[in-house]
Amino acid sequence: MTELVLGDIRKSYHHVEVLKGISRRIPDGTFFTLLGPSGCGKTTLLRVVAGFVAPTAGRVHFGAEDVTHVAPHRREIGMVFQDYALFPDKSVFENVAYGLRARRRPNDEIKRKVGEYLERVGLGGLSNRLPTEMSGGQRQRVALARALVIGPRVLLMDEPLSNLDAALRVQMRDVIRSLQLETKTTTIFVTHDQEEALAMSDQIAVMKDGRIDQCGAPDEVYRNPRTAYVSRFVGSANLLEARPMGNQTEEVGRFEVNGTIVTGRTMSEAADGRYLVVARPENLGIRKASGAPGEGEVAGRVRSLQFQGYRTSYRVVLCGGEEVNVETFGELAATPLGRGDEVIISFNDKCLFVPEASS
Amino acid sequence: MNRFLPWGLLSLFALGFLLLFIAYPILGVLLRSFIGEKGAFSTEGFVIFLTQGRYLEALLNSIILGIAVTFICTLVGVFLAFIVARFEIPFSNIVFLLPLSVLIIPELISAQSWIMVFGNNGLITHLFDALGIPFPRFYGWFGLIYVMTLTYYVHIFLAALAALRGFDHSLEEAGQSLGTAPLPTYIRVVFPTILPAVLSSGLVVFTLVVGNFAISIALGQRVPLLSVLTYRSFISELGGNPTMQSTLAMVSILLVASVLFLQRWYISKRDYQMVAGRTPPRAKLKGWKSLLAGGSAGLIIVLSLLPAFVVLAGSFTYARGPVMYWGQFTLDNYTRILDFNLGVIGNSLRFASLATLFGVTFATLVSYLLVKKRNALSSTLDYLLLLPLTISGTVLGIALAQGFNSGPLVLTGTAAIMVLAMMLRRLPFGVRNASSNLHNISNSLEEASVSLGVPPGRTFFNVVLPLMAPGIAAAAILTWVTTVAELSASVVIYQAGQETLPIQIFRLISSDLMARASAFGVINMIIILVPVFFGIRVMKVKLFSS
Repeated sequence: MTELVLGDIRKSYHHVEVLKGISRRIPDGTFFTLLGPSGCGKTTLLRVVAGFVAPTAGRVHFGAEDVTHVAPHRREIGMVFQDYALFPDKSVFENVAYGLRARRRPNDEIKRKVGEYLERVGLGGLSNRLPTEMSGGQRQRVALARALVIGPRVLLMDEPLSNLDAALRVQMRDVIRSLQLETKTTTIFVTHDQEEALAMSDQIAVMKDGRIDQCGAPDEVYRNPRTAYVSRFVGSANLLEARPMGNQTEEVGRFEVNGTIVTGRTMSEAADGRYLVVARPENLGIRKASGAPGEGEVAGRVRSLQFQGYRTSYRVVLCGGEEVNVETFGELAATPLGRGDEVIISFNDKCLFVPEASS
Repeated sequence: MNRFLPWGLLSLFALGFLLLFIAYPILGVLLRSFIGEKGAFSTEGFVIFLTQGRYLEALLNSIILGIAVTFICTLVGVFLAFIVARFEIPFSNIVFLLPLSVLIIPELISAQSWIMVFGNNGLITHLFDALGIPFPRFYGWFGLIYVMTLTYYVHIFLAALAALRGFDHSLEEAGQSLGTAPLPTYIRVVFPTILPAVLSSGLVVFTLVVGNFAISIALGQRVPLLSVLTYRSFISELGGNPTMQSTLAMVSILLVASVLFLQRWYISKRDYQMVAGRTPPRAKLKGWKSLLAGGSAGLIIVLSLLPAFVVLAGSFTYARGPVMYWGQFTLDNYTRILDFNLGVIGNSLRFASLATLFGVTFATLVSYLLVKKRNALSSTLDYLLLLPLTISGTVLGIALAQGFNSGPLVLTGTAAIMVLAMMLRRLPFGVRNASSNLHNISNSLEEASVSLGVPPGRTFFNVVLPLMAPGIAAAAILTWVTTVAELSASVVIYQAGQETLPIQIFRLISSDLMARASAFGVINMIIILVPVFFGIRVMKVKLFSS
């Protein structure tokens, strides 16, 4: 059981810095997700922890041990790859036994442990199959068992679910998270899928251009994005120009958005005084237009809608010409408005204000 | 980073090996071609080459022969590919023996068998004599073009067949739906798309013809050719002034290298990729068309396989000197080998197994380094590996013999140089075979193994090597096949007591002792055939996949 400490990790390829100083302390047993678009450096960071990429600067500690210059095969990590990376010429049993054999464990222990872990991932009885005879989901289960059976200090997963179809992906989230909790293995999970990140993690680090933009528990990152980028990448958000009314250093801000006054929290101060309002679709109200919009309200027209049972999503064109997404749930969703209806959109007080510059 | 050191060291070793045994000897040839009799810089070699008629004539003859054979091979190869790909013909399965026949029947034996049919004492020649009809002389242009066409058309056939098979039938249907009739459509739509494959294999055939030694010397007594002249200059001037041999070798290298360069440039410019579509259905032919298509394809196939049977028959035929008594069977030709020439078989087996062992090991290592562990040395390695393709066997033999007959490393006259020559000739192909599977092995497989605690070196043996095995097996079989049949380099450098089967056959053919040559030929073919058969049947190796 290992605490993982990253100390100012930097990595450059041909003078291009892909990791720009990443420091983070990941407590023992944490499921830690690196979330970001391709090219943000998340996989490079994972490979630095694995030891396949040597950082240009900075240190990696597993607990008290500095592993920065330890070869990958001596780091005692478990790794799960996007393409499963099962040895195609070896049976499921031999794949899972591979790491134990490398550690020269006695045969009866290998047999017992491999059986136990195959059982844990729900593949008991398939130990004689070849990987080519299995489905993608089964293969990833084998890969997971293979990585965990050696009792790794850190489990590293590089987009392990992106080759699976949607239904299987949801199912595998559960398998991975349950096993991780059972074994209490410190885990770094790389993904570009925010839903996965929100559903599985103890901690999410949203990465952008080689930096961690924001790090925190899933609900924290979702509810309180500190930048426009994070708000857009985690969950969906309507971002509209917001003109500050008065001094914005306090927690509660007053802004003019689309000709109306909206209040909410200001997440951080914009050096140039330019702000965006972050309004999640569920933080906007919608009703049929009757009379002029009041404070915190804007007139608009429904451009399109999708009824999905428990919720209905609307695309609304505001009077200023911008478009916003609005979602209604439960009772409200059951009596949808029609296409082309004139409506009034209202901002509630859960709206946030972030600097425009970082977006 | 010291954890990457082993691969860097191995790259360095591979680079050093290729520099020493390929680049250095060729550079030596280049330099010596500019050194005159007095040991100073001089262009006299090239002056002689350009002013003495026979050298220029030989160069011109080689080029003409190359063009003629390439042209006829293209006609035959494309025609046969077209018939096989588009029509249902009887015994079409036998077509797949063709690439094998080229492997199993060495060029020298092919030339020999056709001499036994059409030569001065040939079967058909005698038949025509008996009927009083004058038969055209086989030695010379006719024989050269005939035997070389039958030897090399398979290259174009295979390339054209692959291109035709890969051709998307719906393109053709699109052409037809726009209102053109089937045959014009075919010519207008299909031929342009298979042209790159045909042209590039054609250029390869050209380099093979120009570099060919065995057929050239067996049939070309009356037509001076560059490769034969190069060989003769070495044999007669051994120990004397090497200027002329170097000059001739240089001209041959320049000719082949420029054609190969043209071929690579052409391939790189025309990176045509056909979306693998539906393979067109094979049409049934009726009546005279069926007879014509099946008959002509059958004839080509019979002519390709015939040499094996002629030599087999000849080996059991009684002969007195050059005169063969067809119909009188004997085992004498074999018992003589058992009594006097077992050493020749031993030499062949010994040299070929060593060349295969070292060649395949080296090819495996290099292909792994080039595909998986690229570093600053890799592109230099890539280029050095192309060098053996640019030099004919004769030139390689001369380069090695000249390069290592003095100085700190003397190899000339040793068995090592024989093994080296055989191994180097096949190396580029060996690397290509060995790396064929490597591109499909994801890097994450190795990383998975390393992450599970197995160091990189052992990971290579545990994970990569088993997956490379099919390619390595193909490399081993093909290296074995070509080294057992190797003549042009070994005949330049062998010493008394180092005769191999092809060298022995070559000497017997030169003395017109065809029956005895046939017995050696049969043994040679068996030695080739056994591993090929074992590989294809037992190990399921795909020899022609790449």
